[in-house]
Amino acid sequence: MKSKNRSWRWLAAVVVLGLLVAACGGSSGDTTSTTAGGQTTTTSGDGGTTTTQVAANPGLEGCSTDPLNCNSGPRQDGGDVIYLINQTWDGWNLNRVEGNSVYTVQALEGMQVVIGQYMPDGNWVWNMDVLASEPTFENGVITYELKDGVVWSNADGSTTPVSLDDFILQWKFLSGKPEHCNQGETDDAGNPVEGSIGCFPASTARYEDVVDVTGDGNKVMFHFPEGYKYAEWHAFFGGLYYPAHIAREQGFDIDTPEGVAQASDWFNKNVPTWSGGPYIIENATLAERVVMVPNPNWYGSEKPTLDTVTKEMISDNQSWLPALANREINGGSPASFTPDHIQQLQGMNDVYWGLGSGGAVWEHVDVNLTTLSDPALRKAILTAIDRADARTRIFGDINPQYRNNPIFPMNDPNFYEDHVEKYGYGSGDVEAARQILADAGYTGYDGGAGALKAPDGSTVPAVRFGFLASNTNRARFAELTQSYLAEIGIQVELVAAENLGALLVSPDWDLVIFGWSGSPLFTSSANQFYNSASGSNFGHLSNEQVDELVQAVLEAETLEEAADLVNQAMAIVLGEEAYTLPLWDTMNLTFVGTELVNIRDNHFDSTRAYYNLAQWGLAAAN
Amino acid sequence: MPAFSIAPVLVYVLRRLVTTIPVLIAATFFTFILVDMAGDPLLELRFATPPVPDATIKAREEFLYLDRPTLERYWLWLTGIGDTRGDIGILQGKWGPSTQGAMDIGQEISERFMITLRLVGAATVFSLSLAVITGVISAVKQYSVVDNVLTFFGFLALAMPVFWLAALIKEAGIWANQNLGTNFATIGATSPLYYRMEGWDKFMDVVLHLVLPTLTLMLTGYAAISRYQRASMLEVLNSDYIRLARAKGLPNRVVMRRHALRTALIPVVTLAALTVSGALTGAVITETVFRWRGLGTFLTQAIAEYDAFAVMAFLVLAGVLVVLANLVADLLYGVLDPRIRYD
Repeated sequence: MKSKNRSWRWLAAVVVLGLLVAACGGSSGDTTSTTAGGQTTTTSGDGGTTTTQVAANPGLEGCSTDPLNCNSGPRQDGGDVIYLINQTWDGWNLNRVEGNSVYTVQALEGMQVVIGQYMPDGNWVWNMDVLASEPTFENGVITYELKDGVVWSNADGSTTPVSLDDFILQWKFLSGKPEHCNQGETDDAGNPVEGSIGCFPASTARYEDVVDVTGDGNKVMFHFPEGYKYAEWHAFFGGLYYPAHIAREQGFDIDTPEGVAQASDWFNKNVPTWSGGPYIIENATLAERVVMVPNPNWYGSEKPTLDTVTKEMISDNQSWLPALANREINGGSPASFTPDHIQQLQGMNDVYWGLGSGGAVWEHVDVNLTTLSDPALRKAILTAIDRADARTRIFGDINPQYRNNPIFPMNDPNFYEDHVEKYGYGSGDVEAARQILADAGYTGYDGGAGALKAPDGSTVPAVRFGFLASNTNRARFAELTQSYLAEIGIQVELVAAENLGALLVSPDWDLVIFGWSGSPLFTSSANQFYNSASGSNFGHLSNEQVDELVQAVLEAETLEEAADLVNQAMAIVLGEEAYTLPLWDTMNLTFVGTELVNIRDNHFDSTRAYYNLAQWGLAAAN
Repeated sequence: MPAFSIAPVLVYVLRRLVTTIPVLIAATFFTFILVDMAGDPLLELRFATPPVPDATIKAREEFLYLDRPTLERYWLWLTGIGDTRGDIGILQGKWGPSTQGAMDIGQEISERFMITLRLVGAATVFSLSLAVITGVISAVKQYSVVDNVLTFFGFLALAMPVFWLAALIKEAGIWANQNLGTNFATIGATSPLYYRMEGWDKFMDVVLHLVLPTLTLMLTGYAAISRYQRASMLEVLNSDYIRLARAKGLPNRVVMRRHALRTALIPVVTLAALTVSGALTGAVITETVFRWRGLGTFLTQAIAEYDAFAVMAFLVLAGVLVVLANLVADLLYGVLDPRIRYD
């Protein structure tokens, strides 16, 4: 991580502004409270502005060791911040498949009622601004108890309490059940039903299992079937975005499947003018820009100090840093970056920047078990591949974090176990790889590419290595693999595909490199990747024990139990089957102007740096 | 001088428009086939983590008419006749559903068109003016220092890749902002808080966002036209009737303006008309570098998202613009050259 000192001019400006703020300040009767992040806040006696009183910890250098407090500092009132969103978003309704993207999440962040979220240290934290007590999951019932005063702020300035109806509407959006919402139905002849626009849920996981949603005072209860097991119940409901009263005001009968579908469609097509969070959208254009201002009816303890927060979509990655230099944006946490960006950032003044990873996106090599059916050959291949050499040659000084477990990244605070290095995979240990082949009866492993002979004396055919042609890093890795496997007598043919999806479902590869994206929620990932019945098990792993284990993960009662089952499954997937070689996590880049404080990356949440929007501010003078 | 009659011109225009219809239909058909073959717009959904329910994918296929054969989809897009939800059929003024979620193709493309028009309009006016002036000067001062300098800069602008030139101009703008106190914008057509501005502030915001991309488009557009203008002017200046005009003792100014320039503009008019239509639909790189959400980025986004109906919308608009631009160029021939008749 690097940072650059602010220029003397900026210092002077901050000092002057600080003096002005100091001259205007001096109120009495302040109260203090402590937030989840451990920061101490001071609220003015009239209940107005809250300013963060934390020891200044400028820069992103400390984020790897202190992810919750790096780049923190006291704020001054006022200011306009423009922050990057690096891709377009296709709708405003996160529940629908069209609107369900991290970019919609980022565009809307700040206007939703947050129930809980993953923090930059990888731990889940409940939002006690909203909740009266920590939610529970007992006897198949998840119970949320809301605080009094948790309200939606409407466009006309009025407020409406957050209610049971909002939760029920969310359930209906996502249950996937036709009795709750039209699912784009067709008639008997297969023709679209007139007016049937459908809810198009992005995922019905867990919501389809809910049998009822009830209320009792401020309590909202989601009822699952008796005996239902759900290890990740805490993340079942992250937040509320779409108020039921707005749907009704628009004339939708949300007690009928047609009305819910119409409401879902309406929420997708219209900019939210309401808010249950610290900011409210003042102006927005789909896929281009969102301008937010402080929500006048915000009930939370952390009061925004900025006048406006603009989220600016710039997909052209060459434009980010010039825009930053010109202060047309103040920062960004893009989904990808190039070494050029790092080089440019190293030469920029007044900018903090840092790299990190939460393991949300990671690269790996999978093996096609229908063509490479001998586990010994697969183990030798995975051993001969040299991850360290490849990482250096591809990324230079960036050094992305190795991935030693397909499900848990190395910086997972709770459940990480190594399933790569302990088997010697990715070590590039040619002698060990040759020994594996020799033990299995192979010959010719030291004769160069194409010389390897199977135990029956036949020549081992060339291994086809598939990759997405437009991804230069993967292409480079495939080329490097040619040289690694030549050391054990295997010839590698490169298969550059224009369409990764088409390649993965084709039989045209023996090894393939691609990426998976995930989240701290892990219980469904193992099942999706490695269950023999899964459509995403592209290499056709078929192991009864693995199937049983990954299925059991879905039904585990606790996270610990689920993680233990996952790690048992991984021991088979990698140790016995040699099915996959995790390589490294995709690194995240964050850059932010030194004029701002409390902006830092959250690698464990798709909101990224937006996760603590209410705390953002212009740095106050010391 | 024969009396001017509008009837032949109208017949000519009508004939030209009628002959373009089969061309447009053929172009849309082949483009549709190509876009349809390019890929599956729902591919990302099929491989999403966590998995998207099959019912949702099936519903999306129905919504986007992906459950129909390609030829039927094309027919529906063209006519809207068949089993539809009433949202498709270009002949009925319906653009079809978009793979890009909540986007209304018709509304989006008209908004984008106006944004691009603003950018291209200013750039075209400046580039044409500059091209004609420099082309004429180069021709009149052939092989002089002025000609050589203008030729050098013309070729330089012609040779520089647009993305590079745009990046250079953007960097120059930032340098000027930091060192000269200017306030050029490098992204977008307006500032985020434009909607709050009024009067002069609003006007200046638009201007400051226009400067750098307009300069880019102007330089890339002017170079080629100026070379045409120079060549055309040289040809005319060396013709017999210009010698005759000079021999008759007409002042040089009159010879140049009334006799030489008017004739020399004819080939440039054709080029200019096509340049305008091309720029409207083809300022992709400039729009991308300066993050103007115009027609260029509309097309690239549509292609990236396998949005067949959005690509088709662009094609129809581009086709109509090219047809109109050619028509205008042909009509201007008659204005500039009295020998041309529309009989």
